[in-house]
Amino acid sequence: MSQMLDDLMSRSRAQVRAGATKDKTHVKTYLVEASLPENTKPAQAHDFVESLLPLVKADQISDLSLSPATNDTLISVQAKVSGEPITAYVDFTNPRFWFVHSMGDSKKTDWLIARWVGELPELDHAWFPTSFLENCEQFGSIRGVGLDYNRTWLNKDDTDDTRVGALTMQVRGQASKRILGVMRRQNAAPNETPLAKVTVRLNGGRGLDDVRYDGKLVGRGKSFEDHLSLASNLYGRYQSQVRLVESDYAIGPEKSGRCLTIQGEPITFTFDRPIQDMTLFSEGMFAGTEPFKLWGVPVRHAEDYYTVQAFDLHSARPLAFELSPKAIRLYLPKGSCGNSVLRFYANLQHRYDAMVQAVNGSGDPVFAF
Amino acid sequence: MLNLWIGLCKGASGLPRSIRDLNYKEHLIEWRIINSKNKECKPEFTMCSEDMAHSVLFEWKSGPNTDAHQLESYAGLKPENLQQMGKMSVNATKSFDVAVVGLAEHAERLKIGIAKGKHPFPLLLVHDDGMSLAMNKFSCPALNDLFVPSFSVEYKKAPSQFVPVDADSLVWEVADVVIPQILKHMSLRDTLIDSSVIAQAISPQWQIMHKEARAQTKHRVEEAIEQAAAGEFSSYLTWDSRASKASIIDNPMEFGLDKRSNAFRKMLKLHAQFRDRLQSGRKYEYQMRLPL
Repeated sequence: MSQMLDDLMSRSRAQVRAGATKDKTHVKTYLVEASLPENTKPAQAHDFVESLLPLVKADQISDLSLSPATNDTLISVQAKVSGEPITAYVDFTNPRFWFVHSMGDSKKTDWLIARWVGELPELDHAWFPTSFLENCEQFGSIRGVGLDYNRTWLNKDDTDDTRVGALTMQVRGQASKRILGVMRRQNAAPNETPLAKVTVRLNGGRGLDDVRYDGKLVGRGKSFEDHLSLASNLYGRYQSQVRLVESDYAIGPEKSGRCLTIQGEPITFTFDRPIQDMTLFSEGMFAGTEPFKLWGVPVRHAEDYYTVQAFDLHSARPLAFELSPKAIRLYLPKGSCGNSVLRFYANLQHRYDAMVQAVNGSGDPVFAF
Repeated sequence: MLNLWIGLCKGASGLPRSIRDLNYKEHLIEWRIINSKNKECKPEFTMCSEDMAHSVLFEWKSGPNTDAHQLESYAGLKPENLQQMGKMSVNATKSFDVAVVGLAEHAERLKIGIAKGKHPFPLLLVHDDGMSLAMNKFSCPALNDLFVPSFSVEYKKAPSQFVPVDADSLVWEVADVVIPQILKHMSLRDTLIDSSVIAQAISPQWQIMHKEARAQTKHRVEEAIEQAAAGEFSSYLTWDSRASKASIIDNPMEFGLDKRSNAFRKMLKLHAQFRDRLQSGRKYEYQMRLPL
């Protein structure tokens, strides 16, 4: 698979000249997290993939077939999505953290992956907060940025007329960082400029990659090896943060003999711009719909203090929240996936306040990307 | 109170950071220990600070009276009891205190109880806006300084979710944590839900709970499930009180994405109605479904 994708990327210019669309010469890699433990045996993981993906049925999907590829942790998926043939390679070398590669049509492949992730609680995207994307600079020079902000889920909130409702923007070229800096000035729109994408010209290689905040990478260069190296590196960093959340912050009992203590601590998301209407905000956030996909009925204890025993429709696990105008506390139960926290953080940045911070009890940042 | 003290030790946002700054860490919850005179003590909460070489065992009193035998048992505690049975370090038990925490309105009775036994136990009184040291002192001066004249706490900012429910919780509070657990079982495509499994899942302290407290919590869970099955969630669940099990008869997780979203929207409304009903005290009689 690696050799084939590398060849296809190398030949991309010739293919474009021969009439292929540029999109089909780019390799798309989706970082998908599964609910399997990392130590799952390859045969078990193989069965899991084979039984899981066909569960998703839709009129747009036809002729879905899965076949083993060259090694025992790779499965090739063929399907037609709205009549367009798609081939995707699911690499589950790490049974929990998958790579899904494809050179198929971007829209169709995006749709298929979104459907899998949306319908199957066993799967989720990797979620990259803004600071994670900013740190892609260490792999090369930033040649483009994309912004995506939308708070229309709070569409009845007219209490603050200085706020932006939605903002999407693409900046290409070496000046993109400078433009981003201007947008983030205090008198511009610092709360509405979360990074949705960065384009990185890789150091020393032939790679040019788009990295999106929902864990999609698009390799536009000529080398699959360079693309894969970046994807692996980013995924490794992401995985370490997921594990950190699970080991240091997930809350649960720790028993030793007849003694019990509570391990972990809640993660606090502090806002730069306080919540204006707590009822509207909490009802919108826990309506069970996009973007947060959190389900729960808020309990109002005071005008400025709500709690919610929620159910995360993405990961299909309970989560508890406490809300006040300046902060939200999230309690992740032990045994739940740390990815829920990163998804919540990224969604808060893109759907409420780009300057939200995730801090621990010491006031220190939870994440170090 | 338990959630508040865990939050103070962890430095949860919205609470004073001074307890955490002294490096007190939550150590034990409802821990049983035998003192040097072979008597049992069971502090509700214990915190230790290696930096201060000091530990505090808390006994909270919701009423006006202390229990003379209980205080006597605490008085018999030695550092080695804490080290051996509580796995506390030698350093953290160089000094320790038993703190009695009670409501300010019961101050006089609580003071009499402590004075009668000539115990050196610090008495912390809970006011609307914080806590103060009303009698005796901690053996750690830095901790005394925090409570004199008063330690300000905004109780409504105190975390409440470390231990979300206990045996004394109201049925609507229990139902609030039970419903997400039922959804979890639905997502696992289970068809039967055992009330014990849910009771354990919502009680971090389950493994060390008294038999009676476990039974009480399980009873509350069963009451919540029965009420859900009798009322708002009757099209999704049935309840078998003899087996203490609920059956999932309609699982939205088995629907396609669009239909599933609609089902969850509907269940959200039902959940709100369910809570309102339980809060108002209205209960339904569960009608067993007969096989047709």
